[in-house]
Amino acid sequence: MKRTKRATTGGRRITWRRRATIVALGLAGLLSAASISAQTKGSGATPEKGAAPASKAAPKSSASPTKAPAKKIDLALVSAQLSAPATLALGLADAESAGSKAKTLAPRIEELLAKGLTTDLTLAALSALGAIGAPTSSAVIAPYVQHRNADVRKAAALALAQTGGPDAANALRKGLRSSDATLRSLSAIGLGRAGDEQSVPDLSRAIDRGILEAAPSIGAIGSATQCDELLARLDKLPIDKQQATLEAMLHRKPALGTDLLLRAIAKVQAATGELTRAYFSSLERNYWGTARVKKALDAAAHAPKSAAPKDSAAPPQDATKTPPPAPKSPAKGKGGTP
Amino acid sequence: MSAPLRLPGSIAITLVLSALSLFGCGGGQTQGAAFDNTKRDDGTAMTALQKQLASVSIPRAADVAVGVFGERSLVGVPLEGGKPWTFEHPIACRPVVAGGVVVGVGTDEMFGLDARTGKQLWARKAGGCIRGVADDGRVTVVSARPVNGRGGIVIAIDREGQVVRQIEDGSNIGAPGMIDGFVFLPWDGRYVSAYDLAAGDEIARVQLPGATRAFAAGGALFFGERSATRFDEHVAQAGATTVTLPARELPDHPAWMDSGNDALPPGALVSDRSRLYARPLATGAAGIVGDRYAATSGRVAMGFDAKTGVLAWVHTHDASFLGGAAYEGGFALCDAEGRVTYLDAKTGAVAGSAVLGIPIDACVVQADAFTKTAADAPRPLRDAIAGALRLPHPDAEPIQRFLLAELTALPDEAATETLIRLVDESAAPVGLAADVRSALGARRSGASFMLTTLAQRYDYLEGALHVPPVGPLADALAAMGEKRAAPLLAVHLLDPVTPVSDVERAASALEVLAGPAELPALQQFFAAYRETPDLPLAMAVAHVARALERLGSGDLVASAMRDPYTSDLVRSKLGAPAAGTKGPAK
Repeated sequence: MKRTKRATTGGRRITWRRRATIVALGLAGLLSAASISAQTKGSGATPEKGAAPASKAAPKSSASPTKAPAKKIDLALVSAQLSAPATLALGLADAESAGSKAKTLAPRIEELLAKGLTTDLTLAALSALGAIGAPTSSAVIAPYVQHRNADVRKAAALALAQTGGPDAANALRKGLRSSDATLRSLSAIGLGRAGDEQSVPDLSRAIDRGILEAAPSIGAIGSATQCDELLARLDKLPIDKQQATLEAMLHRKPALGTDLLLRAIAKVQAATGELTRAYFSSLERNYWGTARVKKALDAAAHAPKSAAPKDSAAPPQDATKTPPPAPKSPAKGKGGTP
Repeated sequence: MSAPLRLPGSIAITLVLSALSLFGCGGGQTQGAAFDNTKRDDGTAMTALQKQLASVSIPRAADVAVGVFGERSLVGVPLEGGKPWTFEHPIACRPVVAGGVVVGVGTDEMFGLDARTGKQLWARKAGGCIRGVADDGRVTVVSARPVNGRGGIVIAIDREGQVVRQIEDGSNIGAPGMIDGFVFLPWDGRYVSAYDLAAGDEIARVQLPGATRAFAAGGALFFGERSATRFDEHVAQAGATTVTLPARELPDHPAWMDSGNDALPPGALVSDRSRLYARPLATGAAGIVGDRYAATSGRVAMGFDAKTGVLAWVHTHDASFLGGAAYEGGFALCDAEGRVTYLDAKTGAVAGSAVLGIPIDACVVQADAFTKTAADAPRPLRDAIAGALRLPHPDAEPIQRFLLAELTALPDEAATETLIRLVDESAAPVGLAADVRSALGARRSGASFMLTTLAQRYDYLEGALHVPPVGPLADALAAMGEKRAAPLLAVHLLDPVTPVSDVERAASALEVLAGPAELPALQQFFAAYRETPDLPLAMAVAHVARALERLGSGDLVASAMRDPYTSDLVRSKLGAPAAGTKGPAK
């Protein structure tokens, strides 16, 4: 009955869009649409026709994706669906909903993708493989990052961020070099997610070229030295990117050194000022690392107003676009780092 | 026919003065049957006259440029340089320079100026417009178009402005020449009559079809219009010393000389902007001095081999050329900004200039004894052509098309690089861009330059935001069978930044050039786009499918024809039945 209902009320494109929404939500922590928009403007690139419009609402913060809960799946049934053109769309949708539980179906979907499908089915297959998240799927997904259809490119980059592995990293590194600004941003984010340390030099170069989503990715996968270098130019980034970078550094595994994290906290605190105590409080609640770092976050969360030191960071690069809120009351105490 | 009596100049003038006193009106009467086309002449008289005049040297004419600006102003400057002169007089027709005088006409008055100084020599009442002038330093002969436009009037005027001979006839009398008291008058575009100015009689004639003007150059007299026949011992023979310029299909079909039967308006015509300049050899066999002739087309001047017509050089100017003259070793070309530029005949390099000092509407240049050459090394022709192709003026497009064809035909490999640069830099005007791309695609040499260009890729991270001209390069490299291009084309085939029209051409080239190493890229492309409903992309998929079949992956294509994910458009391009219909897959 469920399948019948979908078939009669949905149609391929609607089905795809609904599923794409799920994927997008699943990667909400990775994809700051507002960030992409800002990067696009900052780089001077023209968003391609067909690129998804960027939302202005940036997610609060999260370094890990919030995946939709996987549902139970009849693998044999879905496998049969995948074998018939008439039921392929349903099969792909079910596989996507099942997520990693549909891992055994990945080779069949990869085979279909390698042979080529219609655009709607290609999008559905990419989403399904992304949801399944098997690194072995990356090789088949990778070429679609270069597709002429912007939706397909985007879906491929999203999928690669979930499948990971060397093939994903290689394809996403190519994505950084693309003429498609959205793809560049997604690639920068995806490389952080894919965890490929070899991508850090390219990500660092990407920041120079205005792909600011690369900063949190370096925070997530860079070595201590690379993160240290990133800290040195953190104040050149917009505040939302600084915060995303700090979060990536705090939540990564293996953890970065405490001293480095303390300096990162101080940097971001200096840049953001006293009105982000709630932000640091949230970070402190969700942080389970070293006591010193937790204490520093707590101190930042309870810092007196006007805590920003006088030698604090320079205004964010795009301060005109995202101005820090004005202080509600005069400074009362002397600022300082935790 | 016996040779006519040759009168010394002083006696001739005496006779003329006597004639003036007789007729009172200031001119002698014509005698005999001048301009009678029923009169027979076997050329003996003309041969005898030539023999008689062979030792007479024709004085060198003044080297000068004269510009017309406004409705009543002339400006002149000696080619050797110096302060320009100006002269104010209503101007009804284009002035003419001959020998040492400039002759103009306006408001029913004709005037003669010293060409070097602009000083007025004479003026007299006259109407009509000037077709041509000859001057021997003592008498100026003016051929004028009557006010009613029919027939011809020839007036001989001395330095005091007195008419010493006047001829009126129903024949079209062209631009005259003059040697030592004998006037040579082309008429009806068929004959040249030698007229004894003193006796007022035609003493010889020669049949020269097409000759409408006589002119002196380098100490010799010539007759012609589209060709030039020297007044030498062969003038009345079948093998006259005649030179023509090699035919080239230039825009606006420029002529070497205007018809001597025409009188030109004061302002420049299209034919003034597009003109040929050449100087016939004064001695020896028929030919052109330096074996070079020049052509102008607006802001572009070109030098051609006078024997073969091969393009030798191109000069791009910042103003439109309006007039000029060929001299020994070069060309003096006058532009709308009032500058006269001397171009070396051999290389086209700028050898010098003179300045009229004011923008002009038309220009007349006379260069006889003048010479000036440049020592500069010649600029490579491909670069010179590229310079002209960068002109942004829409009116330059016709000559740019001509030059583009010349560039395309150059066997020089570096010409390919020039074309690539023009395409790459979008340097050619919009209206010419497609032609430049086509020209690049038509090249069959310079593969190394093409491969180097094809190796370039868009790379945002490295700041390489340029896309090479994949389509034309693919066309050329495929035609050349250059298999080294295959991996590079495969990269561009898959790159979404490659324009779809270029993708089709890359695919077409890969159909011929691809090897086993390109199979993964071809398979990837086929899989990604076999569902396309867009024509150019479908064409590309069809090319790729045929490449796959050639490389032994036909099963992949056949399999794709059996499932519903290949578009009907792609199927049709591959000769396969539409999805859902029965029929054998290809």
